[in-house]
Amino acid sequence: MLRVCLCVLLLGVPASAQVLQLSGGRSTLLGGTGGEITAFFPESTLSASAGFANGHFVFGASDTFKLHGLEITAGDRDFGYSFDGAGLGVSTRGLFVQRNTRHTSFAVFLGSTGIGYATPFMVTAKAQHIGAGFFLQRHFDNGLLLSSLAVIDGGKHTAIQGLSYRSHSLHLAGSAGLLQNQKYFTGEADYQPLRSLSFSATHNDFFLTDHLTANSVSAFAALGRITVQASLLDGQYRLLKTTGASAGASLRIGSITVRSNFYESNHRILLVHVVQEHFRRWAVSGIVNQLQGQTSYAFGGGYLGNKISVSLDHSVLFFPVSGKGFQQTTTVQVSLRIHDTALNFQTNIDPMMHVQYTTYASSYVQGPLAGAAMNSYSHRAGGKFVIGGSVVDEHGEPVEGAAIQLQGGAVVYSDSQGKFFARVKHDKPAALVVLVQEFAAPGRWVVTSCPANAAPGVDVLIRLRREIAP
Amino acid sequence: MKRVLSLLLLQFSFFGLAVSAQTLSPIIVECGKKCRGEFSITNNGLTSLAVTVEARSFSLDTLGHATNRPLDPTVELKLEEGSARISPKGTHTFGYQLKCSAPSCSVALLSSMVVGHTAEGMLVRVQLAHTVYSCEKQRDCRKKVRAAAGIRDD
Repeated sequence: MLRVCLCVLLLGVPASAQVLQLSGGRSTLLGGTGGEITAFFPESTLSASAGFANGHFVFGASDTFKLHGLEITAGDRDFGYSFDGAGLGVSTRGLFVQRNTRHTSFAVFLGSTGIGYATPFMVTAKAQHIGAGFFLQRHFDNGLLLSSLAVIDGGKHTAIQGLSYRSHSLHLAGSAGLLQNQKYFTGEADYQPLRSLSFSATHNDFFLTDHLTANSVSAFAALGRITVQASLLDGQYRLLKTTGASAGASLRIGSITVRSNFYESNHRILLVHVVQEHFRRWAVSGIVNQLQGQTSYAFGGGYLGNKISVSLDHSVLFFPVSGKGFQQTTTVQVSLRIHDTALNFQTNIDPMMHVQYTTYASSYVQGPLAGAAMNSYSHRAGGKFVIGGSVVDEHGEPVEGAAIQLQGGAVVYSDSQGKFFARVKHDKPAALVVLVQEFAAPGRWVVTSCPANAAPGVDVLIRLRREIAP
Repeated sequence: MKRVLSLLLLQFSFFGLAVSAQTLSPIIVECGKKCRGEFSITNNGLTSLAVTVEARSFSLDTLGHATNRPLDPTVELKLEEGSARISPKGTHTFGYQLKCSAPSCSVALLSSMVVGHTAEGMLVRVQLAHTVYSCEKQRDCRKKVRAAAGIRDD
């Protein structure tokens, strides 16, 4: 009987959900491969994840719901907060409660902690130690922000206090305490006396396998189309000390930006000259690198569209851990949206200068209780010819939200005047179909007259009759 | 086990459609006599959303309240798309070209969408506006239009 009930539970929950989200992917940066299924109900969200991380099978599940203004999660969840340069993320399995108001954010968890994976496609945790955590952040009207984080993760204790102040021209932030049993301090100061002039200084402690310290001082100024910046950096990891300096200027003329930067670290000088042109959805850049007498060329750019976005970026980053100072890095990012499915691929450079990648897909499936879901028709934009017309009801009144499919799959909707249009590339008549099941307008509709074809430049008239009022 | 089944039935009994906020950005842009622009709508909901875009000219009274009217003949607007279907958690960008032959033009691009329904079954329709102020010079165009309407911003 118990098994039957569990089967009903496992099959019934996704089947009765309004919307399901299915995700799956792989990441060398996060060290895992797996997937997740999330079922959205009006009052709660259930999710289950499974996969392999570092060669081991991992799984996770959670139920998130609201109760008396509190958001409660039972199961696996990442307890991660950062403020004023400090932060900690712990994978937890247990009970998590949080509440956010205009001035206060509050979260607490009780359960177990352990190695976990919180990725866009999989959230798992492993119960290894007894754990508990507490986070409180309070905004004051005078610009003060007070933060407090306390976590017990087995034998590792964290207790950090942060305080920041922000006024019109000044931002000061600092945090200190115990981070995983190690003393910790970070500080940051930004001063912006004018809109076009700012100064910044930071000090950070990080804990990798050993203690890492990084400091920076920088200044930035903008004068019309010209911007200039300069910075000094130094870092120490174990006994390895790395210093660096950079300076640069840029000039913007219309859609073109010309930028030259000078980087010096470990007695090596790197000069990077970039010419970048921004169109509305396109950006292209040409890069010239000069390193110790050698010149190299690179090209980058990107396209940001409704269906696809692609970018190839070159940037110079400071690597104090590997002791290599300033290094040129290249990252790639591709996002593709096909109907209700999003595909993502991106590369990252880790602190040891290794290239890592993350790729995942995520899709939404409308459940039987979500109402009449729209089918997966695609839209097309562009083309110099316009096919259009208007939609009216049996009284000659305009119908808003009528869905009309043009030959080739493009679907358009009528506006409040009953008018619709689509841009097409060819000056040829296109077949026209009214999709009554796709209407955003309420009620049940019947088509009384609709031309079979519509030619560019000639308005068509579609007549409908409402059979059942909303 | 009875408790588990009870909880499950309780969850199944909430069949109303969840309504999420939708977002539009940017809300306001300023441009010269001719400009190319775009705005993005993000569907924060879990179901697909049909969005239609309509253009209106508008004028402001001294309190800053806008009155919409059909697009003035001095405004030449070319929308790339008049409607779109936005997938769950997706973002769609609408592009346009605008040409203003008057000293200044104030245009609202109104995006309409049905985002859910009330408990009584009444549909909830949301209209978000992307406002374009077009003047001889881009700088302080909105301020000039508001000053011409007798609105003091200080």
